[in-house]
Amino acid sequence: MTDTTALLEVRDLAVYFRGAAGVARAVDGVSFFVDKGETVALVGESGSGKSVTALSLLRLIDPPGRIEPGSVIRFEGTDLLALDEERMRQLRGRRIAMVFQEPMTALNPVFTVGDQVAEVARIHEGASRADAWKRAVQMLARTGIADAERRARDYPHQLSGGMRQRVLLAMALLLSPALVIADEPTTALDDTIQAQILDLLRTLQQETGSAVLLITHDFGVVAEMAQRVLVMYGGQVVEAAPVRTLFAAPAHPYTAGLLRAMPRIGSRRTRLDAIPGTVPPATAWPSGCRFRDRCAHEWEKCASEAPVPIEVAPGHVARCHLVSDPARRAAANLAGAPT
Amino acid sequence: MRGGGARALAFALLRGAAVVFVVVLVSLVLLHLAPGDPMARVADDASVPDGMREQLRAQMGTDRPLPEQVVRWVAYAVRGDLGFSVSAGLPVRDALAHALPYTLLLGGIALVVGFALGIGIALAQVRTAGRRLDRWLAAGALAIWALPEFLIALVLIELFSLRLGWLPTSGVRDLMLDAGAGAGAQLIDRARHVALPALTLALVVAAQVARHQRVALQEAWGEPFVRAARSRGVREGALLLRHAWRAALAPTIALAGLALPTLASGAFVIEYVFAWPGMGRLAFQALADRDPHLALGCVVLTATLVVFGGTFMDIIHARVDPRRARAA
Amino acid sequence: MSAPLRRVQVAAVVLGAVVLAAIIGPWLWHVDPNAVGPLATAAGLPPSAAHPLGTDENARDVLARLLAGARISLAFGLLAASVAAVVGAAVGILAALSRPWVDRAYMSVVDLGLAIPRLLVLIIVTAGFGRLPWGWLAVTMGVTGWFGLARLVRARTRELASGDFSVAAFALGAPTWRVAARHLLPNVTGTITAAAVLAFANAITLEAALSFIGQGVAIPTASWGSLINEGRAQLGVTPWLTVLPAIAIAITVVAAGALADGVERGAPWRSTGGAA
Repeated sequence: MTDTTALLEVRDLAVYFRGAAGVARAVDGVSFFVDKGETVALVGESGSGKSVTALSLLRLIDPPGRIEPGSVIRFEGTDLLALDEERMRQLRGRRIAMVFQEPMTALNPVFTVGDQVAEVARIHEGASRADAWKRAVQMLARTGIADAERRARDYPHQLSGGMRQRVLLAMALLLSPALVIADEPTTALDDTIQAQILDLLRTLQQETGSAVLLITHDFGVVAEMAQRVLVMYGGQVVEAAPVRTLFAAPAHPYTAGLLRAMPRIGSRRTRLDAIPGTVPPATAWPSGCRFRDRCAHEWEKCASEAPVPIEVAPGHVARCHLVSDPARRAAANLAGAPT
Repeated sequence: MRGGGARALAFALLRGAAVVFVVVLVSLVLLHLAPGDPMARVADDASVPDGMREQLRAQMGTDRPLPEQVVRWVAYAVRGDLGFSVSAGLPVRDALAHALPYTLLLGGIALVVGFALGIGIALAQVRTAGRRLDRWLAAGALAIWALPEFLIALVLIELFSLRLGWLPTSGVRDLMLDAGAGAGAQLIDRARHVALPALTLALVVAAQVARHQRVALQEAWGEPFVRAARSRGVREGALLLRHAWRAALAPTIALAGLALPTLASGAFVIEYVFAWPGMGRLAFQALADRDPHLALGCVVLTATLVVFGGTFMDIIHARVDPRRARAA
Repeated sequence: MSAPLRRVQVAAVVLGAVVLAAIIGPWLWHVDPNAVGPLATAAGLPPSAAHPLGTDENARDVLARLLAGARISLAFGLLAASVAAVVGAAVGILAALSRPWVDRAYMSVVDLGLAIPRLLVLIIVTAGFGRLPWGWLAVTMGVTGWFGLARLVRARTRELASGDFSVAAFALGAPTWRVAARHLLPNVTGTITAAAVLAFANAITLEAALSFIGQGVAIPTASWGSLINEGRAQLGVTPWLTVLPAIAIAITVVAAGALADGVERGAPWRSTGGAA
């Protein structure tokens, strides 16, 4: 688990958006790593910065957003932020692939899905038209699309939501990338399809040996898929732990709140009303701890001093003053949450 | 397009025929209301061959009730008889047959060049968005959109014919060119004559297309599928030329199809300026010489061209946009 | 919002200046635009103190003709646009509030009108009735130019008619005409204005083209189009005869286009959704 063996290492990642309303610090000092072949979940409410984090890994932040100097993204030993645009482009879709939340809008409506899958092979491996098409059809078949040869000639609007998401998975995994970033890949789908797609992702991941960074707000998905979890709030990672540890003993009040909000086994809908209030805008984080406005355990120190990540146990880190204050922590009883 | 395509096409053609019929109807009503029956008056003109007078009176005379007149006119028209042009001294059909190829040539060149130019301008604008070239191109497109066609024609004549002397000011061919000159020389001469009117009309088309295409391109450029394609390693050039442009093409064709009637009016005026012997010139000649049969023939033929041109654009639109193809 | 707003303001000021020049211009510059001077000495003069914009080949004062032409051209545009706006707005609002099949009937007429080049109608009218006086020509332009406007107004009205305050008014039992007059009309004014300004610009362009072809206003009446036509033969010798009216047309049309664009995007109007 040292830096040299990690597939992806992110250190002090900061992404700011400079606009008329001021500087939005959407991502502000995020550090984490992903090992080869593992699945890491990135969890948080909308506005927590998880999608921006995902996009910045591929350097797809559009102006006025910018990855700030001092950020480090190291992938397979190379510093992605130092690559020229052409080298970066060669990495996209080949070594790092992305699966988007809305398969309908992520597919170009005027090309057949087969064309769009084949395009990946043509761009990165210079495959001939016929060869790329053949591989696209094979890959579509591997994602469980029946009659792939015919379906490949369909346009996105002719497919169901679940099939479109299979197409996106086919594109992402066609070249066996080392890392797949899946941004809420099942949110737009209904429950039964959701389970199928997650199964498929897991199967394909085993075949290709890819690591997956799974972005979600759904702890049900986390429990099913991930080995480790990163919880984001206010543009920062507030807690990182192995899945089991996190569920059993959350160290951050925000994580505990998310877990409490999780409905019992059987339903996957997550309700976040267990945490009062809403995420403040990224232009106006509170001083000190960014969560303190919504935290039941706030005290003076939380406003005066921003907490730094502290190790709770090996592999378990939290960004909360409670960690270094055992008395208060015991009183807070964060682990009283259901599993 | 499969399956339902034939029915959709039949329906579109039927609708086009209905529109043309309404044009005929409105035109005949207007001529019927006009004082002194301009249609029948033609038969009294000295230039009408004797054998034709009785027929013309029967065919075009507006002394009969309007519905009967309409039925008669249509009955003759479908057989290709559109009356007699006193100003040309020919049956209207023959006058139109002479003019039509010239108009189609001009319009065809202008549409192809104009579309290519308009799309090129829009692509250049999107690539240089916010920079100086973008602003210049936008200003140029606005100016061409705002100026009447004949002014653009005058500017081009002034520049290319009078100042630079590169191209002739009007007509279709050099009358001084020896008839015995080689086919190559004849062709070059024709090309030099068509260049300016075609360029003028092409610029008008291009300004229209560029305006629509730029909006559509910018919209497509902001779509999530462009970012998704970028995340797969698609090159920036292919992103614009393949992904965004193809998605933006369909709405542009649809809007350009709607602009056809305006373009037809523009083509008429341009033909007049360049003394180009097409439908527009014929129509204005009909007006100047008070030749109602010819005017009516020009109007109906032009309406037919415009309406079925629009249908044709619609078919291309459905081809280009798979979402439409399903609906059609 | 501030940059587009400024553009609208500039456009409005420019258009206002052109209209003002047309109204008070001939009154300040008291020269008969049709008075022919001595041909031998005063024809085709370049700008001077006596003739600030020179004279034409008939030794008439160009400034006076330009101002007189502005009156005709602008009045022509205004008349055509008014007719188009009244007919188009009425049809658009009626269609939007009618039963579906009536609405469809209205819209088929609109589609038909949009499919036919306006020039053709004009050709037929002229073929039958001879050359029209410019007022009737403008009315004909208006009668053939309301189709697009009707479509826009219909779309906007439907949007509004499904809005809260209209539904509330209908629910309270207000008759359709009352809802249309009290609640809808004030709120579609922006759309109507924008489309009417565009129709105004279009009519000016078309009048210019017609006059240029010799089917517009009768000589010696000056309009911008007829001035260009007169000056065209001498373009190489006295270019200002053609260039000045051309610039006048361009400025007016561009300003009107920018104004319509801004109004449509809602710089001054749209914001007040429910004020009636």
